[in-house]
Formats: sequence, C-alpha cells, structure tokens
Amino acid sequence: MYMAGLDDMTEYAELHALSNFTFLRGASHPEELVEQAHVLGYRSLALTDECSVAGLVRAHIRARDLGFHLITGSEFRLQDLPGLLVLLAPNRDAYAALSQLITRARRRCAKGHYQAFREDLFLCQHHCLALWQPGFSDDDTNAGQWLRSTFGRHLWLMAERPLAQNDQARNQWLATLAETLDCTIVATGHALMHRRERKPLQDLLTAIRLGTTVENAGLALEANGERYLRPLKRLQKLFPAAWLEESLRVAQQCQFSPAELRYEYPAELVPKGHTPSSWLRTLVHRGEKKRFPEGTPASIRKQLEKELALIEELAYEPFFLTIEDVVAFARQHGILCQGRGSAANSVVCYCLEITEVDPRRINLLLERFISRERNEPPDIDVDFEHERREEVIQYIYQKYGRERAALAATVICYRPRSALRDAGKALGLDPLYLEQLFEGIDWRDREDGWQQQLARKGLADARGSAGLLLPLARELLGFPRHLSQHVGGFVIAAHRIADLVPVENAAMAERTVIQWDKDDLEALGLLKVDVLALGMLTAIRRTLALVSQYRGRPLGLADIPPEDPAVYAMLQKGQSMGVFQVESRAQMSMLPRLRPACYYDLVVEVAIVRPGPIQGDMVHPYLKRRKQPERVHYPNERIRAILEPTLGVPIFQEQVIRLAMAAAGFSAGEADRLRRAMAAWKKHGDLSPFRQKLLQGMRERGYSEAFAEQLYRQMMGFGGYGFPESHAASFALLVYVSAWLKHHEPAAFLCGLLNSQPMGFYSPSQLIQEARRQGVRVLPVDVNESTLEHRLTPAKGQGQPTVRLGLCIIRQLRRQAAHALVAARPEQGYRSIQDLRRLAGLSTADLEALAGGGALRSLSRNRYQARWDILAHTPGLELAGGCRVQEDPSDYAPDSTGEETLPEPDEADNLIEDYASLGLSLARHPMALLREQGRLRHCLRATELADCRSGQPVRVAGLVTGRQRPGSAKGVTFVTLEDETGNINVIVWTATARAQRQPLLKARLMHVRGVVEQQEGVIHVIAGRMTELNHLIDKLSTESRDFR
Amino acid sequence: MRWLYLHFPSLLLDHYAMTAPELPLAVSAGTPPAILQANAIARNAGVQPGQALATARALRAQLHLIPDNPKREHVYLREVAASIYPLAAPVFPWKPDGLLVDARALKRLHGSPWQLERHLLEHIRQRALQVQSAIGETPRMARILARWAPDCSQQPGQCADQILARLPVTATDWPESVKERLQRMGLKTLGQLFNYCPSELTRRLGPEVTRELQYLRGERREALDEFLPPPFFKQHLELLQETAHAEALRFPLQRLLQELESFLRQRQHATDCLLIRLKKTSGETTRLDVRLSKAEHRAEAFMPLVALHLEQLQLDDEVKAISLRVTRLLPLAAPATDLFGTPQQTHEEVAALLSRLRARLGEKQVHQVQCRADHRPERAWQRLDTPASTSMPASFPLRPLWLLHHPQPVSTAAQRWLAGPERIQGGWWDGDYVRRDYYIAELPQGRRAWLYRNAEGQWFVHGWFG
Repeated sequence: MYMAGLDDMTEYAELHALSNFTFLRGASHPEELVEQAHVLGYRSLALTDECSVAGLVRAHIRARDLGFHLITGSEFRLQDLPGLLVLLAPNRDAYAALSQLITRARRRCAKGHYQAFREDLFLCQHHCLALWQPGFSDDDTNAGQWLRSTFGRHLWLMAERPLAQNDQARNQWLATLAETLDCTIVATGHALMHRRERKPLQDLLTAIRLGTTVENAGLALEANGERYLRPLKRLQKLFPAAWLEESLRVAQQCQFSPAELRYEYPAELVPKGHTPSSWLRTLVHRGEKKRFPEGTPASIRKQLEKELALIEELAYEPFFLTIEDVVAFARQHGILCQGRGSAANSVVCYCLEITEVDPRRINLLLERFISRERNEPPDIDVDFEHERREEVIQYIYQKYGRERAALAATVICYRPRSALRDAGKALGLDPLYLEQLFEGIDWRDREDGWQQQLARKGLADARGSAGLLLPLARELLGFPRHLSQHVGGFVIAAHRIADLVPVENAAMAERTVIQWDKDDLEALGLLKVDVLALGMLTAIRRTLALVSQYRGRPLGLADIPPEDPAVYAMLQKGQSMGVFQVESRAQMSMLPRLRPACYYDLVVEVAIVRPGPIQGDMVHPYLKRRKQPERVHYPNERIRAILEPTLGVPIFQEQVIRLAMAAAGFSAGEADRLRRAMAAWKKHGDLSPFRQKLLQGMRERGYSEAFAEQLYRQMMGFGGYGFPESHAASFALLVYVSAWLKHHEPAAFLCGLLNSQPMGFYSPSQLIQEARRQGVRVLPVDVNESTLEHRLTPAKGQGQPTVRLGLCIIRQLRRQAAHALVAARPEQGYRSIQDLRRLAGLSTADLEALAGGGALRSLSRNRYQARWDILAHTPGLELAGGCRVQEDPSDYAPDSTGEETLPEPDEADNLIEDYASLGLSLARHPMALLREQGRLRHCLRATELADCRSGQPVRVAGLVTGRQRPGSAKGVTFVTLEDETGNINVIVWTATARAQRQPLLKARLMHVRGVVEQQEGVIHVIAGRMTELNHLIDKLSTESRDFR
Repeated sequence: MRWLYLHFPSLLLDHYAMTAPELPLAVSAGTPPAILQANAIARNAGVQPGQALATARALRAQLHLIPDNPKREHVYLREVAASIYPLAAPVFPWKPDGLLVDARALKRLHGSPWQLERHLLEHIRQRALQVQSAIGETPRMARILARWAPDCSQQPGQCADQILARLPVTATDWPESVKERLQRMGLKTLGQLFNYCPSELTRRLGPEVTRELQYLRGERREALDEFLPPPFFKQHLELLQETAHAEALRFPLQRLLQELESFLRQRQHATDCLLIRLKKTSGETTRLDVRLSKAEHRAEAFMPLVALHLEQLQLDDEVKAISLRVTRLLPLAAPATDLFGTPQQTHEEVAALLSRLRARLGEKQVHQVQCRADHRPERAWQRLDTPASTSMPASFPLRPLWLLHHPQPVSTAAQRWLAGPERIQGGWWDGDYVRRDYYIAELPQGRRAWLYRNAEGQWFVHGWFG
C-alpha cells in the first residue's frame, strides 16, 4: 500500500528501530512499528532492540500477515567501542551468531543488563552486517579502522537526522570518516516510536528509566519527537538520495526470516535401530498391554491408531518421547505426576502413563488432540509434586545440559496498577496520593472498569499532572517491563539452544531463560515441555505412603476403587475441606447444589466455579437442567454432540470453539483466533468482527436470531475465563482421589496435607479442627514423641490411627534443631531440659520455642516454669546457632535453680501460647471458653444452624477467619466465622456492608444477628447487625484472610 | 516528687490540626503503609493505629493522611521545648515525644510540682497540643506514669509505687523481645517483677531489665541531655490544605506571629526584621522580607505590615507550608551602635540594600540567574530569589546571550541561513507545550538572529547573537 502522490523514486528501509522490548526506551509495540512501516510504504524494517530479540516474533507474525519484509537485528553499546553498533542478520547462520552474541553479553551480567566487548564480535564478524554510529570524537578513526578490518565490506556508517543543532556537523564528520575508512554511509532513523504522538509516552519511559520525574529529567529527554517512522517525503528532504538508496541495498542482503527456525528434537531418546516413530509405537504398545490387560476395546484401538497416524504425519514423536522420558524419570523416583491439556487426554498419553485419565471415561475428540490445521504444537502440561519438581528440573538440566535446555520467558507487562504507579511517579505525583487513589478500586470488576472507577474519584478532571495520568497510563498498559521465568516451560534443543534464541539470566540464581515467551514459541511452532508444580500431588503421595505403611500393604493411585458412592455422598454434603480444587467456599456451596455423582460431574464441578461460567450466566441454567435433563432441546444433532455432556450449556472453553465451528462455520484456525481474541478482550480486544461473522454464519446455517444472540452473549461473558475440559478432566481425577482419601483414610489424609503445607485454602488449624470433627484423634507435639514431620501412630485394633503433631509445627524452632532433637533422642526419651541441651545441643532460643509450643509437657510443670528454667542457663557460653563451646557445669544443675515458682498459666493463657507458637490449639476452642463464661448468650453454634428453617432470625458469633469480596459477586462480602463446631458462612449485602463498615472491617471476633438462608443443603446467615467483640479475645491471634 | 514528664502522643497530628482542626487526620507509616496515629474525628469513625490504609479509608473516606516524619516530629518537639523553656528551664527532651522538667529546681518559681504541672499544661493546651503528664520520684517513673497512667498523678496523695506495680511490663522501654519473654513466663505486671531477685532476672533477661528497674527506683542516674534554646526564632507550619489565595495565609501567619510574640516576650527581645518563606507545591519558595522601621515584639504590630506584603503578593502556585524566622533579636531597650560595625552588620546592610532595591523597583525586579536543564530556551534558565552558587550543564547547544523575553514576529527576510533547523519540542507535562524549528540567520543589517518557525508556520525572532 503506497501513499498517493509519492515520488516513486524514493524508497527506504529503516535499519535501526527499537520497540518497547528495549525496556523503558522504545515507546511502540513491535507490531505497531511493522504496521506503520508498511503503511508508510517502507521497503523493509529492521527491529533492532538493544541486545535483544524478545520482540522479534511478535513483529514477525504481523509482518508475515502483511507480507512485509522484516529484518532481524540488534543494537549494542560496546564497553570498549565509541558510539553505537547495530548488527543485522542476513541469513540463518548470522542469526545464530547474533543470538550467541546476545547470549554471551547477557549471561555475564545480572538480569536485565548486558556487557559486550570488541572481542565478542568474533562471533558475528563473518556473518552479520554492521552499522556503526561513531562517537564523534577523535577515537573514531582508530575504532573505525578496527571495525573495518573486522567486518570488511559489511560495515556501514549510520547517518541520522534527529533535527538537532549539530546534524550537519555530524554528517560532515561521517562523510570524512567514510572517506578515511573507505566505507559507505546509510540513512537510518533510530526510531523509538512508530508515530510521533508517542513522544509524551517516550518521555515518560525515560523518566521511569532514570528514576526521576519528567519535569526533572531535563536534557535526558529527547529534544524533539523526531525519532519516529517518518514519511518517505520527509526522509527525501532530510537525506541525500544515495544514503537512502543504500538502505535498500543493505535490506536486500537480509533474507533471514524467523519462519526458518526449525525445532530440532533431541535425538538421544530413540535407541539405535529405531526411528522416532517406531520407538513411540513400541512404547505405546508396551503401555497398551499394561493399561488394557483384557485387550484393548475396538473403539479405543481405532482412536489410538488415528492418534499415532496424526503424530507421525506431523512428526511430533520426539515431543511425546521427551515427555514420556521425564514422566518415566518421575515414576522411577516415586514422584507423583500427571499430565493435562488437550494432547494429554489421549489414548497415546494414557498408554505412555503420562495421564491417568482413562479414555473410556471421557469422550476424546481427535480434533482436540492435535490440530492439523492450526499448525500448533501439542499442548501437554505435566504437574509434579511441588516439593520434588526441582528434582525433575535438575534431571532435565543434567540430561540435556544447560547449553540445550532453558526455561521459556514470561513477559511481565504493565498492568493497570503498575502502569498508574510508574506513570504517576514519573509525573511527579505524590506516592501517597497515588495510594489513596488506588484504594477501594476493584481492578477485576469487568462491568465497572478501573478507568471509570478512577474517573469517578475525580481523576478525569484532575488539574495539572494528575490530569495526564490516566491517558498516559492507558498507553503504558500492556508495555513489556521485563522478562521473568515461566513457571515451568522448558525448551530443549538438539544442539545449542542459543543458536535458536538468546538465553539470559533469570533473577533466580542458576536459572536461565530464553528471550521468548510461550506465545512466541507457539507461533513459531517450537515445542516446550511444561514441568509444573502441584501441592496436592505431594499431599496425595504422602498420604498413600502413610496408608501403605500402617496398613502394611502398598496403596497406589491405581488401587483406589473408582466411583465410590460414599465418596460422592460426602462431597454432596459440601464436606470438601482439603479436597483438591473443590475446597473453596464457593465450591463448597456449589457441591450440594450440583450434587456430583460420577466422575464427569466432577469435571464439570471443577470448571463451573470460575469467573467465565459465573459471569457468562451458565451456572443457574446448568443447575436447572440437571434437575430436568429430559427437557433440554438442541437445535440439531451437531449442536447436541457438542453440548449434550453439559446439558446444552457451554461450560468448557473447547465447547465455545467447537460451537463457533459447527454453528457458524468458523474454520479451526478462525475459531482459535476467536479464543485468543476472547482472552485478550479485556486488554485491547475488539470482538465486533467476530460478532459479525458469528451471527451471520449462524443465520446462514438456519439458526434463530435469538439462539445466535444468546450464544454470542454467553461467549462474551465467558471472556478469557473459560476453563478447558482437557485440564478439568485431569484435575477431576485428583479431586476424586483426594476425596476418597479424605473419606476412607481421614487420619492419613490430614497427616499428608499437614506435611505438604503450605498449600490449599485452609490453615493447619482449620484442617485439624475439621479432621477432629470427623473423628480423627490428634495428639500434641512432644519432645519425646514427635518426629520432625507429623506422623501416624497405629491404633489398637482396626480403628483409624492417631495423628501426632510434628516438631515442624512450632514456628520459632529451627529445622536444624528439630533434626538434632530427633536424632539424639535416647531410647527412654529425654528426662530433663538439660538433657536436651546436652544431648541434642539445643540453644536457649530452641528450648524457648519448644516451651512455647508446649512440647516440654513431659519435662516441666508448665510452660511458664519451663521458660524460666531454660533462661536460667547462663548465656555467653554458646555461640550463635546453638553450638556449644564447652561443657557448662550448670548443664548438670537441677532443673529449677531458685525458689521462685512462676504463676500457673490458666486455660486462656495456654490458648494464647498455643496460637502464638503453633497457630493452632488442641485445647478447647476459644469460642467454647467464651460460651462457658456466658459471654455468648443466645448464640447458636455452627452445627445448630442445620436445624433452622429458612428465614429464621438467629444470632451467631465466631472468629473471623475469612473476609472475601470476589469480583464476580457484585459487591457482596462473604465472611467466614469459626466456632468450636465448624464454620458459619455469613453473607453481607452491599448496603449492610456500607452501613456497618466498622464491625465488618475491624472484627476479629464477630457477633451477627441475621437470618438463616437454607437452600439445597447450603446454609448461610444473611447479616443484619454485626458487632465486633474483639475485646473478648484481644490476646488470641487468629489470622484472617482479608480482602484487599 | 521531683520530676515532671510531659508526653505528646500526637505531635505531628496536632501540628497539622492547627490549620485544619475540623478534618479527620491520621499519620501513616511503613510498607505497606498502616495507621500510626489518628485524631479524635478519625478515631470516632473507627480509625485506629495499626490498621491498613485500605481499612482506614473504608471507614472514613475523607481521611487525610500524613506520612510519618520523625525528623519533623523532632523539630516540633524542640519547638515545644523552646516555648516552655522560659517557664521551666532546664528542660530535657526525651525523643521522640516527651519532655522532662526538673520540678525541684523550679520550686521557688512555681511552688509545688503540681502547680508547675498546672502552669505548663495550661501553656501547652493553649497551643492546642495533646499532652499527658505525670510527676514522679525519678525521671523514668515520671515518664512511665505520664505515658501509661497520666490521670493518676493528679491527686498528690496517690502512691506512685502502687500504680507502678499495676502497670503492664509492656509499658517499659525494654526491647520487644524482653517484653515478650516476660509475658510468656506469665510475668505480666511490673508488680510481679518486683518480687523477683534482680540477679535472677538479669541472668535470664539481660541487664536491661534490672537497669530499667534501677532507673525507676532511682538507684541509677539517668543520663539526661539538657535542651539549649536556639538563639533565634524559627517555626514552620505545614498547611493541610494548600492554598493559592494570599488572603487565606493570614490565619496561619497570625498563629506564627503569636508564637513569635510569646517567644520575644519571654526573652525580653524585640526585632525589626522578619523572614517569611512560603513553600509552594512546585517546590519553589517565595520569600518575604518584612522590615520594620523600629524594633517591635507584638504580633499586632507585625500583622499589618505582613498583611501589606500579602496583598502585594502574586501567588502563581499553591502554598503548602509557611515558615517564620527571626534571627535579629534586639533587646527591648534601644540599641547602642558600634563605631565600626561588624561583618554581621555588613551583611545586614547588603540585605537592607536588597530590600530597599526591591522596595524601590518592586519585589520581582531583583533576581539572580541560573541555568536549568530544559530543552525549551525560555525554560533553560531561571531566576533565583536568593543568591546561590550556579553550575552549567556539561554540553549545551549554541544559544544567543540575548534571549528576548517575548519572541517578536519576523518582518524582514533572512539574508543568509547559517544553521538549522533545530527542532525543539517539549513541555507537554507543564501545560507549556512548544514545538519550534530554530535557525540561525543573518538579517539585512548584518545582525545574527535566532529565529524560529512555530507549528503554524509563523516566524519569530527569539534572540540575538550580537
């Protein structure tokens, strides 16, 4: 697209342009630069971010779509060379060299920095084209001669016209230098933005980079806005024609495209004599025998063959082999893991033991497996036990080497709050003013966006700098800020990964990341292996081990009987604390309504309590239809096939895509773009082109307007928050397993959960209370009984074993000390505090921690006395950390040194100590204490609410353990109160919350007069009047999860 | 009973409340910020120390937050010390928020310690400061009582030891770790501690505990730093609500002048020279030199002159703080002049000359010039009110020495273009946006001009190169 009236003689290629991936310097997205260059009729554009190609793929995709010529390059400031050097990659080898150079320069510095020297250029000298802007000093001749001898004919001098006073002088200098060096001058723009309207934003970025304000940045700001992509006509006026033409000659030499990058799989996974394909088949057939000992059912067999054929066709064998290898490693080392994702739920993955999701239990769709059309790498995430994922990562590093394996990057971008904060600082606004501005803003509210909320706070018509904040922050939004490491996406290369993409240091020591994120990798068709961490797997493995131990026979995942009605009955009552995925308050109140009775119900349960289905209004229709499934109608069989599993209501992300394909005639590629557009909708999306196409497509296929509109609305509501069925299917397995363990092995499950902390929604205190209500016996921590971790002690006879709390629950106790205590414990136990000092080498601080935790109960009269006795030990004879220097005679002195006896702690004192040291207490609940003291007259206990009818006025009281105001609940606050019998769910409507802010926000112990609401087994108290009773518990520390 | 301790629980808040007594105020500190102090209006709304800002703001939307500033607090403490100094010297400041007074030394002046207390409280409450006080046998005892049991010492008969015994161990100045240990041994009050042998306590809890008990009982002397009043008057007032109306400054200035009056009166001094600084939100300061024809000490004598200055004042920006400084203190009696004068006098004369020049030519006509880092030529220099050392940026493009205050339209065509264009663009952030292309050109008479063309294509002369 050329501009009208343009002199056709003028053509230009911009060889020096920086995007916002040169963090805090470039002020345009890579895509914007490409688009603008295309619109202006540039022949080419080189993206030359400073020591980085992080924005390359984004630019490449846009250039590819536009049919525009993009050049790959990078800008460097060398430590020992004046001026600025831009290196361009004419071909694949040059790209590899450039990538290596970036890697080298980045790896020697901390995250976010680089250092390059002349000697590093040997990597590039034979491959890359070099454009140099000298330093305009007397060193230029020397440096120029060195560059000339290094790059030969591949050296150009960059001329610029930023419209500074010294433009002419500089370009004259260049002309002389070019003559001396015998090289050519090329016109360049050093573009920092695609349009000059971005100048304010660019100034803002400069101020943020320098940690100052725009006003004080002074001459550090660009003097004008000329560093943008200028129209050809202007360039023609600014540069001699020869210099402009030279840009085309340079551009012509650059024929490299990122599309050439091909992933070469690691070859070592295939044994000699096998092809990847034959080896995969061999492994799959081995697994098949194990998975289907009675023979593979015909339909499964057929599906398997189709999957294998597709894998072979797309040559994805090495990907499956790589994952199989990682999973096999985990299995050999007893690390629980499970795959999920569209490609994971397949017969191939079931046979390779990547997943436990039995293909006979869900409907597998081939088109979901791998899409031939989308040309996307298959999607498999593997979750590992969170405590042992590091072993898996180390295995990958060890197997492939650090040269070949690296983590994908996550591009951390400006989000509303950070954009406002940084922009505000740079505009010189008071940080306190900003904090006040942000308070009470609900960033997640989609109906009432943060921009409107801020506008209402007076920001829209603020004077001065504050008035500039919103527009600038809006522009800054979505700008990349730095590269972080992806949670677990590994890229493994056949040879050196730095040939493919530069590698740089992550913030974490010994971790490296590549410069591309998962979308970049996906766009180029490069594979990554996702190695993720999941706390529940740790808890399950630990629980299984405990059960195996006390039952005396091994219990594995495969031994858990499927579809146990007793397990479902428990879940239907909303008793799910500790159970994977369905333990949140929202899930707990969904369970009795959805009443899951089979595995697939759990798949739905996992996916339905999500912002997508909730805001898309899918929950109520689905629940309604569950009661009368026979009354669901489908417009036709194709829709029925898609929506029947979820009774006509789209709940999973996949269903939306398939609906768009089936009902509106979207191609798989288009449907996928729709999915992406939905995900990005909130950010900058415009769904109207899709709406048009969707409605029209459905009209053409004979669907009613109403149905089409309804579907579109559901999709919109869904936004990017739909949950994929392929993930829900894997999660649902863990839901079932953890629920089974909770039901049948409550003691072991509690022990497993406690030993896997921190994880899940609930504190150890809440988990223990729940288990005790289930009848599990829990014993206190004791120096003569406890091990480091919580453990089980077998019961006499057939009953449930008892849980003995471990030393790890004592907050102040050093782990090392706990280890020493257990290791040195004599067979008959410790007999005195001095024993602990002498045998285990415990320090005073350790002993105090033990006393506080009540672990010395077998050695001392009470906690107070224990502490007094411990402190009597003369300090100064220990080194820090509890090392003993010499024998101290007082070690052998009797326990109590003086006549002093300390006061006896009463029940409340003990409770306070318990909470302070352990965060929990096995003694009576504080609420029971208060009730006994008669301070909670007329208050019902949590369990007593079950006998109340709906609408009955009640009074309740409890410790506030949670206060949530979810974005999807439209201003309603959920308060959770805990008493000695369980939890009470209190709902506070917006008006009540507003009128009674003080008790709502301040109460740690809350008294509520309200009305019971009971519906399908879900019990709430609707708050009427709230009172804070903090004075009653003022010294008990309970943690409350506050909303912020 | 020898010592009187004054505890100021909310110095910062009280200071701000001076100018805005009806607003809910709180001091915040820490990351994430939390409430440190709150005034009565805020407390009535439920705002309490320790709360997160979000909670506090949810409770009282219009809450004004003041960032904690220990340095400022110390300044205010010294101001209070200076104001009671003439009544109660020697005064011993106890950082960050207490003052100790030796009551025995003041016996002849004030009578009993309780009378002294009454006098001081009266004086302090006139200044609208929150204060708690107590009298004790030892400085430490007075301090702990003032902070934790301020009302008990009102009755002379009460036995301080009994009150002390009931106080919690947390009332002491011990490290937090010691207090926690004591509580976790069930030793919750000072009275409990008195029953234990000091050596046993020291052995277990370190020497601080015994030391403090010794301070309390007077078995060990406190090291006290006596407050020395500054030889001049200086007070600073932060305005809670910035204002651009000179008229609105009258009330806070009146306050400062009253403070000055009591300062001068107590010391039997007068002055003929006030320096008022108005600190503005832009960071700049406007300085008012108020000179009287004869030395005065009464606020009512200062006020009309100050008001006159205010009337002439053109405020282009909001004022956020005011300070009043008086360094020239003259005895209330007429001064005798030295024959030759002193350097101090010479300086005074320069200042007087400057003041006269300003009076003759106008406040805004006398300036010093300084470079500023800004691309816009008219912003690349600035006037200074007060002399200061200046520096030049390292490299700066060629600029004419004579920059026209108002660029003038070009009437004649240039003879010769010598340099350009130089495009200068900036200032979007302060509402003074410019975009110009500058050229150096020779005009017909051979004069070298600095010309520019603005975005609309109009030409102007902005300066002359001579």
